[in-house]
Amino acid sequence: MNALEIKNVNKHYKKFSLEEVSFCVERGTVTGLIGENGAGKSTLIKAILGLTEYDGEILANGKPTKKLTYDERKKTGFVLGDRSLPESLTVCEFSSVLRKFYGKAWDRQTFARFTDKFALPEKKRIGELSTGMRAKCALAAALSHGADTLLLDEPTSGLDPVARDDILDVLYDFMQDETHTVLISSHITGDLEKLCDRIVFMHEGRVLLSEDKDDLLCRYSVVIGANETDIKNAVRIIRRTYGTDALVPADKAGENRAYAGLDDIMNFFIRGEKQ
Amino acid sequence: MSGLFLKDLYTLKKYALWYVSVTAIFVAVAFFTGNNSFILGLAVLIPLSVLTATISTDKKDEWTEYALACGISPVSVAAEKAIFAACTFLLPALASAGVCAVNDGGFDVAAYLTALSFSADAVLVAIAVSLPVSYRFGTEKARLITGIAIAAALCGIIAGLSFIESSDMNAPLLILPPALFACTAALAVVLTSSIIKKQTT
Repeated sequence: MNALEIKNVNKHYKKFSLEEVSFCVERGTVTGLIGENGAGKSTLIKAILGLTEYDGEILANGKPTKKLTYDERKKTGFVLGDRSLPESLTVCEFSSVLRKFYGKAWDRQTFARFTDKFALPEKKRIGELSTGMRAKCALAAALSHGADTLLLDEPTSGLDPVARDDILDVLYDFMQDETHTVLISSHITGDLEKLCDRIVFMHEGRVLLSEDKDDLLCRYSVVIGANETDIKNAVRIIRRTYGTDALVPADKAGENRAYAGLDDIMNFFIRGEKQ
Repeated sequence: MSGLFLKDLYTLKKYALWYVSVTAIFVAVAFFTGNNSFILGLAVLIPLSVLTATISTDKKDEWTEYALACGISPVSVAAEKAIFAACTFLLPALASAGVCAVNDGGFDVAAYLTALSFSADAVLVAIAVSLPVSYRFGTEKARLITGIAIAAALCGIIAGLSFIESSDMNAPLLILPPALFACTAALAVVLTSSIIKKQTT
């Protein structure tokens, strides 16, 4: 059974729409959600959490998320992007409030372990913590109520490499349990390349790609200063002042071959011309 | 809902000194002037300012969205705010009882409870009006409506107390106000939860 199934999800705003978004997140895997700002990643995560109405179907462990009981919802932990925590509470007060929300599922010792590991000052207001500390606090909260699925919306945004590494370490540990699942959206494709099993690429509210990460990273090559043959074989091209760069299937790249990373793939698919 | 109550208690911790000071001032003025009715201002001020403070802190914290993501329902969020603000009426109610007892050397319990019921209802109806307005327009923009609600509540209390003094209907007056509040509170909670759902979706 898949941990999450997103089926034909549509959500319309005045100037933006999620359109026919469909993909699955297998249990025991990490799926990375990439896309430019405004692609719909956060909207999708909010739809999964029930924070936004939508058309279509989203299933968590085979059950529609709209019909999950309160206890079933406790099995999903989340980080809602930047500034998602109550700034007026101290770390300790935040823990106390969450203990009331989650009841027996709240593991005080696990939260305490994370506050020690991340050196979070318990008596300090969350609003006074640095960006990195707040991100760690949000993750600690998400991991302290026995969740088996994590939904992370830009959990490492604005963090220095050391802080990001701390968070990735925690996620690696979380994934040691094969029943655990993570759906993580991020602009920091380097983190996703290290962590993810699968990549879902969203652009303008649609899913462009939903692929195994290792396959994806070996599928394309970037040719700088492409010739006519490369341009003919290319999936996408970008015209620069010095010439044309091309994203070509790896087996047709020829001598100038460099495998395309997630950054390159995103760049070409968003800014490039389709061939 | 207990988590929401706890969050609001933590919010009020910041303002505890202010509330205690204001209560002390109102009690002192009522005591020294022998004007028991003066305490009515406190009965209106505290619950409505608690409502405003907790809603505005939640908006600043983006707390409602977080609570909803944890699985708390919009109805619970709305109901908790109404109940929490209503509970703070206890402080001025106790202060009022104390002032009446001291100033009058004892008091008519039945008449006091009738007056309290009337006063509580006026305040709680004001809460029921302010709740959806504060969520819909924000506490800053809702100040005018809240101010009108406070003034209406005070007028309602004064008119009601005058009516009680001139009538002999203590028993019905004990039941009617809470019944009125229950209806307006239910409507306010439903309306507010619908506003919360719209704002977060």
